[in-house]
Amino acid sequence: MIKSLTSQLGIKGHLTVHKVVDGQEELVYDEDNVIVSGFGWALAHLYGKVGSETITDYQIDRFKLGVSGGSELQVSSTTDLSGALSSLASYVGTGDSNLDVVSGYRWANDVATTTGEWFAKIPFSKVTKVDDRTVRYTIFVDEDSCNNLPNDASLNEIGLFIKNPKANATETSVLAAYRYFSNIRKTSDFALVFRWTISFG
Amino acid sequence: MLLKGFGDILTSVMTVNPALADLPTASSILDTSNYTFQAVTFGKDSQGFTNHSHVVSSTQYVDGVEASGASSYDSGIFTIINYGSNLANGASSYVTSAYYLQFSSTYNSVPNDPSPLDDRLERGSTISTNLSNYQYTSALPDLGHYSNPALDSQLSSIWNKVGGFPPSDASDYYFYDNTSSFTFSGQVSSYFNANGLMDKNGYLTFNPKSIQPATARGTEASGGALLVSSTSVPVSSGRVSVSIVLQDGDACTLAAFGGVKHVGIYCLDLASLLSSGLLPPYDWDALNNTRKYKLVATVTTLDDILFHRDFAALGYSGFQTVLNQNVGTGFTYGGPNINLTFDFK
Repeated sequence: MIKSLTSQLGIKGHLTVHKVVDGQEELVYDEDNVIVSGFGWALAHLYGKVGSETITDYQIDRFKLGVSGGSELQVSSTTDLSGALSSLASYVGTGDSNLDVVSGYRWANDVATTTGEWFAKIPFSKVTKVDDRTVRYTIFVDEDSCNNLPNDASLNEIGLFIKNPKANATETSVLAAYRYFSNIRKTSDFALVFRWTISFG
Repeated sequence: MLLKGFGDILTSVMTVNPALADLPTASSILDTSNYTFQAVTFGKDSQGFTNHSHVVSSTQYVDGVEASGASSYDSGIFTIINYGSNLANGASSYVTSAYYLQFSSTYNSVPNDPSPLDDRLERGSTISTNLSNYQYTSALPDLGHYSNPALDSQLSSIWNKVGGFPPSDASDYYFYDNTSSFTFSGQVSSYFNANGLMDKNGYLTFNPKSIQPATARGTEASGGALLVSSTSVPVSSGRVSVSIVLQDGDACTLAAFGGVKHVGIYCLDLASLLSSGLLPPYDWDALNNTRKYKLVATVTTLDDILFHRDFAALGYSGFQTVLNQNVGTGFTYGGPNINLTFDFK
């Protein structure tokens, strides 16, 4: 029997969520996360030489936030958030948001979606090589971002996406990691910091 | 087994700076070939590098005549002594097994157990110490796997003792049974060397083509190790297979030197190459290979995967006929095929 990549190499993810008020961080969430099958799907295209020929297309460079996560989604087969923020305004509001939000498509079970979806970019300056086999992504959602969501919804899920593994003309991303977390009703009173660490063995 | 080296590569993939795309002299660092599989090696138990056809002793025989000594490393003739069988049993194949009766008291033929921390196939020394009086002893390789001495200017004259691959042209071999009786002779030629696929350190390059159907293993063998898919192993399922065909003299000599118990898969060691001042692209050149490699995956078996027998009913010799065979374009006969499947999901 062939063991999967995550079990062979012991790939693990860990997420902490912090509220930031007046520059002071408060830890509100601290759990492991799930590396989903999209990560391996992208690697198979890289190592089979049938995807993009540019390595940065295989990098995790964007994320989604959502409002209807659940523990049942923390499985390898998850391909998207359950209730991802579905408009640009949901991410950046009307203020001076720090988020760089882009539209693109998404791979789900080897099929590309054809309706635009919103992703927030992770600046490369926030991607840290912690050691030879550990990468940390720091996602900063400032006071002006993700406020006043429809129906006063609370943020409770996040996903990391690989950029564009098949080099599609319209960037088509694939979910690499997912985490459901306890409800956070985002307001302009505080910012959020997500620190997501992925260890490759 | 995927190794820590693969974790190193994935971390590099995730953290290489996209801004390099704007630097003409460095943009090729972002080419995926710097991060994908680039080489394969073959290995075995460490003590095997001083046994089998590596042996040089006063009991060696060349040209069917008993020699009085090492005889200049058997006059360049590749010698196979089938310690396990004799003519009375009709055996003409060099038969290896998990333990060797002829060496059982002195020879531990078990390869080292695989570890995710491995950075070479065999952790123990793989120097053929029985060649220690050779004039270029410092050139004797300790790579952890089989070298390819035919391309090494200091070792090519004793390829028949260093192992594990013959030159590209036809080289003579003599086969003896366990009573040291001459059995038959023939010639071996390296398919890998004839096609410029392996450097002197035993690194077999990958075919640069993208993934191919499994039926292409024969037609594309001249390009090196091949990425293959099939209906049972589609890329869309997150799986990729690597196919390596051992054929012609390569299979024969590997079997006679003690077989194959490790197979290693390598990516480029980009950090090491860059620190040496070598910028991509890193073109393949078997005679002057500047590439440096990082071991990312291994397969280890207790038994020799080239274990074989004769098919006496049809008069086929395992050594002469089955191993020393070209796969042909249709991949319908000859040459053992090694197929390694990676499940990335």
